[in-house]
Amino acid sequence: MATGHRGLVRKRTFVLFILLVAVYLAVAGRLLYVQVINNEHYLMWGASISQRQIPLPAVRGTIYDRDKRVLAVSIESASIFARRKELKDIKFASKKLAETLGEDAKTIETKLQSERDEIWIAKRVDPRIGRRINQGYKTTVRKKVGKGYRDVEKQLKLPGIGVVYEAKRVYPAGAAASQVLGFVNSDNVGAEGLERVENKELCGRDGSLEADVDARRRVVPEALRTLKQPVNGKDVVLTIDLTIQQIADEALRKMAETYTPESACAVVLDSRTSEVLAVANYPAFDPNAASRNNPALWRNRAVADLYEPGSTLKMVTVAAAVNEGISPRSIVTHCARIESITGGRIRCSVHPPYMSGHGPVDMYKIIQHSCNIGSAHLAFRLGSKKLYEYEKAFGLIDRTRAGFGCEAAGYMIPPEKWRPMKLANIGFGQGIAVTPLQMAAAYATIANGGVYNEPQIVKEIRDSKGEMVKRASDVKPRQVISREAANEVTKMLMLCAEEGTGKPAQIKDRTVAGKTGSAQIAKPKGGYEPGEFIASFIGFAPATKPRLVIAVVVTRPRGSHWGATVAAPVFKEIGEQSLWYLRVPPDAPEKPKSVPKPGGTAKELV
Amino acid sequence: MRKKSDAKPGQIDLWLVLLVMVLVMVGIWLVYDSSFATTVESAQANNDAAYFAKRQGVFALIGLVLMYVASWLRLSWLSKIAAPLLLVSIVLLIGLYGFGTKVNGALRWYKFGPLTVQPSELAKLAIVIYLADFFSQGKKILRNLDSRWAMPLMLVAAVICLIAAQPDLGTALAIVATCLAMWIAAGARKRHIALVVAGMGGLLLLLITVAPYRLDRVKVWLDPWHYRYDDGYQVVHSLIALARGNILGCGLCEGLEKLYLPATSTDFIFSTLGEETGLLGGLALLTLFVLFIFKGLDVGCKSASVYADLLAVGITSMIGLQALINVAVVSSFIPATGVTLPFMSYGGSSLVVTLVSVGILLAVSRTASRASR
Repeated sequence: MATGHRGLVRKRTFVLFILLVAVYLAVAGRLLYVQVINNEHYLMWGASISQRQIPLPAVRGTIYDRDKRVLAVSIESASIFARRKELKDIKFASKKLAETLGEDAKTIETKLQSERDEIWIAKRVDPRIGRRINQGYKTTVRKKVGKGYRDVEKQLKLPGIGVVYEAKRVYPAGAAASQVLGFVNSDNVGAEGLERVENKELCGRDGSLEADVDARRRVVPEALRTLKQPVNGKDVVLTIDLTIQQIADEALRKMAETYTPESACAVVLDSRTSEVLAVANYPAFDPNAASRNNPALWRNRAVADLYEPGSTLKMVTVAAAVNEGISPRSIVTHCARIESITGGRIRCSVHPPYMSGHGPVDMYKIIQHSCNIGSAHLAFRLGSKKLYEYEKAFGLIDRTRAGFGCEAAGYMIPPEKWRPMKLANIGFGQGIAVTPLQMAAAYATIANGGVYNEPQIVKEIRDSKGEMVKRASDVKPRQVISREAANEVTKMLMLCAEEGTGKPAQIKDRTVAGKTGSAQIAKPKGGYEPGEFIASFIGFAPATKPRLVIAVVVTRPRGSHWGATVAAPVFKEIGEQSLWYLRVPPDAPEKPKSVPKPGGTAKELV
Repeated sequence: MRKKSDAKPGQIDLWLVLLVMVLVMVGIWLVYDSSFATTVESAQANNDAAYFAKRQGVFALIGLVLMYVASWLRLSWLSKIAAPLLLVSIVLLIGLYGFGTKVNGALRWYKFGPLTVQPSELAKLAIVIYLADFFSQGKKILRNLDSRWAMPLMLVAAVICLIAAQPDLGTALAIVATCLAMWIAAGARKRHIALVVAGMGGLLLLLITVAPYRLDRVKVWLDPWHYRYDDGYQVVHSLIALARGNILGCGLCEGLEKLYLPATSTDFIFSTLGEETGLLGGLALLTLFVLFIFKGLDVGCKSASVYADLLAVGITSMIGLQALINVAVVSSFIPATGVTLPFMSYGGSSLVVTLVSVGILLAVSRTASRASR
């Protein structure tokens, strides 16, 4: 029996061995398939899990003022997020996060209960907060000790809560020049202002590291595929002088307290180069919290908005006439307050002692008393074509190329279509629309001996090593009127500031040349809005050796609409402080006789 | 008759010893290789790169000593303790519900201080000894499935059910396969074999239809990539590891996928080998196992008795089948079941019991060498 069974068992054992070898061969075949024949397929799986493109973000360039004071800079910040699926104890997490962030636990809890898979809890906060959150929090954990349980304190990271570090754009000077600088969007891309215009230079080129990471997301050194080093953004140096900018901001703010205008702006140029030293816009906004502001405030009105310059434009008409050889002291016309011309009537705003018109006026008087009828006659003498050419030469027609990026071109119908009424209007600043920056540049031409310089906002661009890579200004200066003509116009503007409508603009110890303007606001469909004005003053100082051109434009002031009352004191404020700050030597001997009181000048002429 | 043949033990099979030594050494190395990257960073492992390898080494030493001791066991004495041993295993398996420790949701271990003991390992061996004894009663018992089968069937079924309920489907499956192999070797009727295999297939289908969650395993097996973040995670990374290995492997200790695999030094230890030594290394190991199977069955065939023969068949197929199942799972040839790779996977009781089993195999070989002499 045993032998029979033994033989059967031996036979069966052999069968079993064959069976096992068959399984062995099958498994070996499977290994061959997985490891060699079809391994590409599984390697692809591996690659899609482990291959990572790790971004190496470039550092965005810094924006400086002309003295290398920082206007915009990128710093490290932490953003806190939650992955909903990984969250464990929402109550506990929100309590701890609230403590660290200094926020309300309820708000965070509501956020964490969101339906989305990825929830942002805080964006771009102090990196120290991120490090604190990454450290974890003391948590009591139930741990089995021997037979019983015991509560053990452990420092644990909050499950499902993560921190990413990213760059944050900050504007240390706050609202100063905020409309010029603009801001970046949440992706650190320039959204407004120079941040947008110079984005290409500022942003640099992000690098990347393409490599394999292991299960713990650590880069495997041997599996480094490509490394593209980031190229940091270039630094942009502006022509802005932060101090003058702050002076201008403050001057506008003070004016606004009294006259509560809808908006106001001031442009300060270096008269020698037309470099923009300050562009102040009221109301201001804080670019550090740009998105929380009304987008209307982002607008850089000084370069983007057109307005009717009104009387300030008479300077151009007069300058053109002087340059064309008309004697400045000759009588242009007899102003009788109202004059009928083909197509309508032109009138002067009159004040005592000229209640029935300015009488016989020469160019000095036209500027001094802002005589519309006189300006109109000068325009007639010049003719529309000539006047247009001068407007163009003064930079009032073409878009400025200062580098702000949102600059508007002046608006004027072509001279062939001008009727006499239009010509007269343009002679004293109506029917034409320009930007405050254009006007400032036009006045800078007079201050600069008749040479027009294109205004510039970007002084230079430097790479991350500090080497200068681009100097902005490449527009050639052009002689618009002769030096003599410019000097003559300067004298007229000085008279205006000393004894004419511009008296409130006078600066202590320094001479001023400038012109007031109180233009009505044109309706989009023709005609003017009753009772709404734009008050302006544009001028330069010191008049004998010009340094600064300051244009102040105030839209819809309340309480007074006169350029002399509203805008000229702003000019004075900015000019006085800036010249003192720039240590520009005084050029005016003491003149105790004419120190006008601001506010008491409403009776002065427009 | 059996007692007589056991009377004077002969020489143990040195080839078998050599094979096992090589397998154990490779195993300790693999445990080190697959765990060092994790243990150096783990305070629980004292930041010791060789933490698991050292423990495995200690278990291997204990196991080898016990193996030698077991090789002196009298086979007749073994047959006597077969039934009691099985009963003890069943008691221990039931006892888990009162005194066991749950790890990762499975109730498989007893914990004694730093030691963990897995009673299912003991149960495996007990079943092999018990069945060898039962089947060796003669051809007749295999011809007729009568009332004498009731007791063994009940005991074996109880063990399998208890292990499957832990849950440890892999080990349960390995035991079923081992029992089947022993039964076939013992001389089961072909008709019966066909019936049982068909019946088990039916049972499997029934189980799947009754509880559809079992289907999930099959789904994961068919498309692991789709489940790569949860149930397919292990298999996906195991396959990637094997694929990275290609023919020659990426070099010892150079493997990366072990960092992804949580069970890299236990159930999925083969994938580290496959990644680092490639197809050649993997096939070499598999071939070592086939050699082991060959030697084990050979020892059985040369042994003095049917009982010794079946004991050898049982132990060999238990170890061999488990190895083949493990590699099949690691390469996603069959749906995932948690089966350890004998001699290799980290785990004290598994290694010790395996080595003791080999010791019994060596005890069988003593009778063989005497017979051949």
